[in-house]
Order: sequence, then structure tokens, then C-alpha cells
Amino acid sequence: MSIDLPVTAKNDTNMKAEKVICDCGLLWSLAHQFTYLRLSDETADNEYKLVDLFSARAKRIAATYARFYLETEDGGNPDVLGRYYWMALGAFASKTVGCLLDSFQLNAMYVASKTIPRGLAQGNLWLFTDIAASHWFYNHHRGNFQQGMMCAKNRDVNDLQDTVKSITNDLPWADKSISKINNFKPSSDIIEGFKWVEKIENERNPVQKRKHQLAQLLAIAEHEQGAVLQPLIYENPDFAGWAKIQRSKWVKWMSPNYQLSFSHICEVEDSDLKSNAPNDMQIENYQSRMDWIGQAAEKFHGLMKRKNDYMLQELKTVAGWVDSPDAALVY
Amino acid sequence: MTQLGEGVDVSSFTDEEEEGLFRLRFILLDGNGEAVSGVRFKTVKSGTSADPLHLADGETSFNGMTPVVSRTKDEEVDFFIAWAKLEVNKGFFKV
Repeated sequence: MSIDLPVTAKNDTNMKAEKVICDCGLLWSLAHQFTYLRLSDETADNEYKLVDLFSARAKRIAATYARFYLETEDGGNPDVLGRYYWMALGAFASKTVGCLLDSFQLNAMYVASKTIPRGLAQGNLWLFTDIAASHWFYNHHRGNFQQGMMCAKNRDVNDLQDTVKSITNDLPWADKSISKINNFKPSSDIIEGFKWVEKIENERNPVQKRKHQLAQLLAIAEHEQGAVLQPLIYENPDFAGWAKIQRSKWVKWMSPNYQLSFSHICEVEDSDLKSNAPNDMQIENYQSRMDWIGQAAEKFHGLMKRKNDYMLQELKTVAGWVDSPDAALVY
Repeated sequence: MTQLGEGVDVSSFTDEEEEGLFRLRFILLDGNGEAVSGVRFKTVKSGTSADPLHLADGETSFNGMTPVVSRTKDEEVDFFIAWAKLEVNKGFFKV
């Protein structure tokens, strides 16, 4: 339950400071507000408009993930750089979503159906709301995340402050998203993912630290793929149907390749800097998709060791997209 | 004298620490007693309208405190969080 506002105080004591104790619902409300304002432009004092352009949202999301990894996000701590390992991979993944949304093939497909671009944009938006809020919370109220008030386990859209709950329920696709992701209640995987974050923070042995980082990445990946994206879009019959059509030989030539490139640009030539999905991957199938994500994670993990300077520079470039502009005309 | 409920200009308050003076502030804390900073808030004389609620008086400082919001003995003050307003384009092509 969230606290009831307003809080009323009487000025009856010399130098009085009335305490307002913020519960999990209020702190999660601040976290949610952070996520939707990141995807919005300010139009007047404390008034915002959500950007319409799907690919601009994807770029801002990628930037935010990169900023969390780089510890340049609000509340970040450069002394523990590397604890949010999934965020670095997530930055490249959201950049890829932006590329797909902008791609010629997908725009051509727009004529036939908006199922795929809408599905990608829906998944990206609600995953961001879920995962970025958790990281913002951990940045700001670490002592009440897995300890203290244990807010990690006490997250529910119904406990948000009324204004924030109303806005969250008004975001695109909210009516067919929030219940599918269990009202933001945590999965066991995200709880585990943040336990790995703590271990990374405390680990001094670099070899062990890298092992913890990969474990953190895979735990969060299982959460985002299994608890969020699978029920949200991949189990949507329309999305799954269009994904099957994309694999047919008649359409495959014009369909985008599923590829994750570890670069700020969409297409890279160097095969060392990208991971292509296997030809037989079924994107809507959780295990098939996770098999590829596991391969991509291994490649990413290797690059973070062998080409760390390059990877950090790419992430810094992506982090600069935090104010990526909306389009004047969105169709 | 600033009347609460008619627009509180927190910058007009001084930060005096004199004995016998009534200075009311709010302080935002989490369950561990740690400060909740950077939260935009609004205060009004108790029972009066806070609209437009999103237009904040200020934000909590690094130690979770608001500036002084009342200097009148026995005055009752309502504290709100000034959540941002968000417009979402719900046009056919947007969702």
C-alpha cells in the first residue's frame, strides 16, 4: 500500500520538521516517473509529451541503458562500474530495435501490417519501464531494494501513487501489457540478477568479477525474455504469425535479419563485432531465442574483455542519444 | 506574509534558526531513515485547493528537506508531491 497524500502537519513546535516516510509504492512511483519522462519532451513547467516516434524512443532507451552501465545515469556510482552488465548488452539490443524500426524492409512491411513494428515498440517500451525503473530504484534506494523495506519484492502497479498509476495505465498498449507482465511483480530471475549486482560490487578478484557479470547478464536476460517479452509480444498470435511469415521463402528476402551488432551503427562489416541469429531460429520461441541470446552474450562477454576500450567508446556514443528528437510527422 | 494556498514562493522564506520562532518544514525519508532527495513538492494551507498540483513549489534537498513552508504558529499545511503531467498521443497510428 502506498502512503496517503497529502500529509498534513501543524506548525505547533519550534523549528518543526514533519517526517514523511516514503513507502515502496511511493519510491516505485518516482522510479516509474523517471522512465516515462525519459521518453518525453518537456512542453511547459513540469508538463511533458511522450515522443511519438518509435525509433526515437528506442534510441533514448538504448542511451539510458548505456548510461546505467557507464554509471553516468542519475544516481550512478563510477566506483562500481560494471555491476549493471546486462545494461551494456541491452543498450546494443535497443539500438538494434531502433535500427529495425527504421529499416527499409520493415517500413515496406508497414504497408501490409504494423504488427511487427508495433510489437517491437511495445516490447521495448514496457521492458524499459520494467527494467529501467528497477535500476533507478537500486541507484537511489539500494538499502531498501533487497534489504530494509525489501521493495524489490514489493512492486505492483496497483501500489503506485494515483497520478503515476494513472499515467502508467495511459501509456501506449498499457491495456494489453501490464497484466501480461504480472503488474510489474518481480520474477525470481530479476531478484537473482540484482543479487549478482551486489556480488559484482563486492568482488575484488577480476576473474571472479567477470564470472559474476556474465551470470548477472544471463539472469536479467532470462527475466526480460521469459517474464516480459515472451508474454508481452511473442505469445501474441498476430506477432507470432507474422514472424512465421517472415521465415517463409517468399518473404524472407525482404525481411530484416536478426542481428545484434556491438556498435552504435546499425550494420557492421566486421563479423567479430556482431552476432547473427541462426537461420533456423524461431524468434517467437523462447528457447530458440534464448539459444541465440546465449551465443550473443558469449560474444559480447569476449569483446568486453578483448576490446574493452572500443566497447566503452561505443556505449558512450549510444549514451549521447538520451535526447533523441521526435519526428514532426509520425505515421 | 505569504498565504499558503495562494502560491507559496519558498524562495521568499529566510532560513532563520531562532528560538521561539515557528518554522515548519517537511522531510522525506525512506524506511531506513535515509533522505529522499530531488522530489518536487507542493504545500498549501490545509484544506485549500492545491490545483494545479503539478506546478511545484520546489524540490527536496540532498537531506530530504523542504524549505520552510509555514511561519505562522498553529497553521496547518498540506504536503503533496507535484507529479509531472504527461500527454500521450493516442492517435490511431501511434499505438
